[in-house]
Amino acid sequence: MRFKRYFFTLMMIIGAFGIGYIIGTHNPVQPALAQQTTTSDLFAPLLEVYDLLEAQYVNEIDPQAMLDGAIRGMVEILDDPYTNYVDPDYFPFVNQELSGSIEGIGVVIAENDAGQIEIINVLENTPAQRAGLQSGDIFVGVNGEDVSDLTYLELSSRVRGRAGTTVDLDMQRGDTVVSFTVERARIEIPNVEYEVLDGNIGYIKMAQFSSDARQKVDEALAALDVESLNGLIFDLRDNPGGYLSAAVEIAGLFMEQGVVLVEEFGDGSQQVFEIRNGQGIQILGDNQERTYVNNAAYFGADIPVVVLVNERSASASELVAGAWQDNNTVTIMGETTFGKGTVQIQNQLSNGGGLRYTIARWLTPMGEWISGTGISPDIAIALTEEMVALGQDTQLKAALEFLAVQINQR
Amino acid sequence: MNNQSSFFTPSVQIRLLALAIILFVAGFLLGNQLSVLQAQNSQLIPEDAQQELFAIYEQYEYIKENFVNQPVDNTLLIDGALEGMVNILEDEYSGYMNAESFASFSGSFSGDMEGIGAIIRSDMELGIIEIADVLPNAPAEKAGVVPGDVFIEVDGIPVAGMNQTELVTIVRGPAGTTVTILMQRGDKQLTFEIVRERFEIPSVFSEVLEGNIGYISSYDFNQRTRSKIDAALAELNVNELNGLIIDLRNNPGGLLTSAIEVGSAFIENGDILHEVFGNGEEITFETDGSFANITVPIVFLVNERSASASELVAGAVQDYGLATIIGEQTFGKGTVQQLRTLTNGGGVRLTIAQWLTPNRNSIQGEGITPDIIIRVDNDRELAELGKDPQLDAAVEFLLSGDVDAEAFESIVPEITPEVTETP
Repeated sequence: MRFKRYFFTLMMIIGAFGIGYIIGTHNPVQPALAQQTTTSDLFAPLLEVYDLLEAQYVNEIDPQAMLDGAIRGMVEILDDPYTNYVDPDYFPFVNQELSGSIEGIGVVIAENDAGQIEIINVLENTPAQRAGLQSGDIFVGVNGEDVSDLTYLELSSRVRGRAGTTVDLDMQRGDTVVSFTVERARIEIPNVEYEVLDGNIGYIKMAQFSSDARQKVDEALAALDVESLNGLIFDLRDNPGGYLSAAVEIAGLFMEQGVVLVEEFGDGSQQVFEIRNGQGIQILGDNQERTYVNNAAYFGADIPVVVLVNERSASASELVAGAWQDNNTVTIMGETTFGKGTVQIQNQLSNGGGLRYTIARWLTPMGEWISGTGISPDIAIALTEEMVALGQDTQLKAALEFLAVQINQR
Repeated sequence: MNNQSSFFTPSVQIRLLALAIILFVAGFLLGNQLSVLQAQNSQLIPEDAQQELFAIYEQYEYIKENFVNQPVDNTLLIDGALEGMVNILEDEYSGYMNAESFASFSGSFSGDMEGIGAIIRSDMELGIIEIADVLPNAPAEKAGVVPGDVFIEVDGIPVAGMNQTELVTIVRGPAGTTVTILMQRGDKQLTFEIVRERFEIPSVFSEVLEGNIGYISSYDFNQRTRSKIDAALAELNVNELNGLIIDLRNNPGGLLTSAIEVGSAFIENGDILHEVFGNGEEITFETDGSFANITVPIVFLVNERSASASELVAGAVQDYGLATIIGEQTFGKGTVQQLRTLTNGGGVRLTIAQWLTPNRNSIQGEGITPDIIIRVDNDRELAELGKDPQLDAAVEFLLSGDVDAEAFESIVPEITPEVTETP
């Protein structure tokens, strides 16, 4: 349970899937003309309550906070975990991770079971590591402000900031509170790691679907000299997703042609995304076609491929795994994936904040909606916490064994 | 309650609002002419907050047009915004209710109610809402709900994080409909399916006790409470008795006007409370001249579930030394709420003032300290046994003019938990 929660949080931090989508494929969404009287009537109570609270409430109120509360309340009532209001402080940082770098201190945070925000990982060679922050430290204060009631989004907005500026942190560590002053820096997020494993098997691990993900994977394939390999493992475990455009680019790696996904909007209209001639093609509802991404070429080697997934592989990770599974081009191994089958976009609001909200469901090529169910691997392999503690990666081991058999049979 | 300071008279206020809204919407439609909008709107909303208001509208349009689950219910979005706006107050007693909830909530002060017939109380420290009392023969009692049961879920909706107002609005509903409530009782969770009924709130109960002592208890303070007390006093023929007990235990309060009416029965002349508003203005409420002319000694019984209007009346008679307060420290709710209807039919319950006793004591968070403290911390078990030490002490006091408090206290001794090893 703890894992799932942490993962969910991480996913939210890392960014909603498909944010780049609107920029490339839709005209900016314009609020439509509303019938004047209806809208006036609808909004009248907001001004009534605003005025009532301002004039009559027993204590003083910040007008801004009231309206902020209204913005949040409107979103919360939709009861969709992927639809949020992002406050103006945080909006500039919201998708920084997906650009490949952030300005901050270099920690990964999550909400723990007690509702506190805790450091779950301190990145190497970052200000946080140099200052001595540790996994398990709990945020108590940021620049003198009590942060115990903040959400991770609100906390992130206070911890992050321009490189070169400093932030004062009070961290609970065991029974004591330790104070740190940390100078923020620009932190590169390592997205793609690769190596050659025993049996001349290539291994590529991708952390998220950032805008440069495909380029980094292509660099890895070149460095591994993929033509010379006997097999390849593409590791999407713990990958929470990212941009839809990056997902289509990555999908092309292991399928020469075919449908990647079907996107279904609130009005019932659908769009199909296909791989064709190394490109991602978007087929709109009226059968009009356009090139969605150019960089979706097949990886080209005639070797068996295993894709590793787990319960923390979400969104774009599930999208590509589903596309490859339905097109039967790779072997999916590991655990059933997270189960997030929706697409979000983001619109900036005139107060400087932003609305990030769910606009569509995506379906696998076979027309399945995986929300809540996830993608079932072709071969299920568990990785127990005991094995993790022992440093044993049973899933990777199983993938290597599977590939060895495949290679022998050739 | 009806004497609130307001910046505009209602009609002027509504006209201004209508103007502002039309301009606000029109301004947006004319191409984001925010500066025009700000100029027109500034009477209501400070300039630095107007962009927030505008953002609400933008957000509304985005969601309405593009959210994945269509169609989006317009009023739901606005309800959400209104809830969000009031919830920033983080005030247990303030809340927004949509049209349906508001109708049933505001109706409850008439003395009639459609619901399950339970009185609730929230413990902010523990973050729970529990049953304070169940009305005789009301659906909750018939279903087996008892005081102390803690709400876990109502119709499958978790209660955790809700305030009283929010809970009340989902528990109440039209007569004939069913509500399913999951309660925590000790270690057990119990599910109750309760058919709501319309019933008269039996707000006053009276009888003559042994020793020829009159007894009147009041469950709440509604529009009919004072007239029912008067009827009870007449029926008891109170001045022919040896004394009178007014039982306000488990009474969570009600209407301010009702509290003033009830207080005026016991106080011939003088202030009953001082209401202090957010802007520092103050209104003093005096007795309304309806003194009941009771000449026998009076005891008020209170406990930790006596709140708000109960504390107001007990505090006033205590300040004047007109009665002896017996029981436990009261709840400590020294604020006044106002109900305001909105143009969408919904309403807001809002804390608008603090009240002080005639001697200007604030009881907020403190409660009223009885003149004679009789503690019982196992009242549920005692009730099952038909025992009521606080009432016994009140009778004793009225008959003898004195009481040995300790003899009546009933406190469960702390038990050292036994450790039993499993074989």
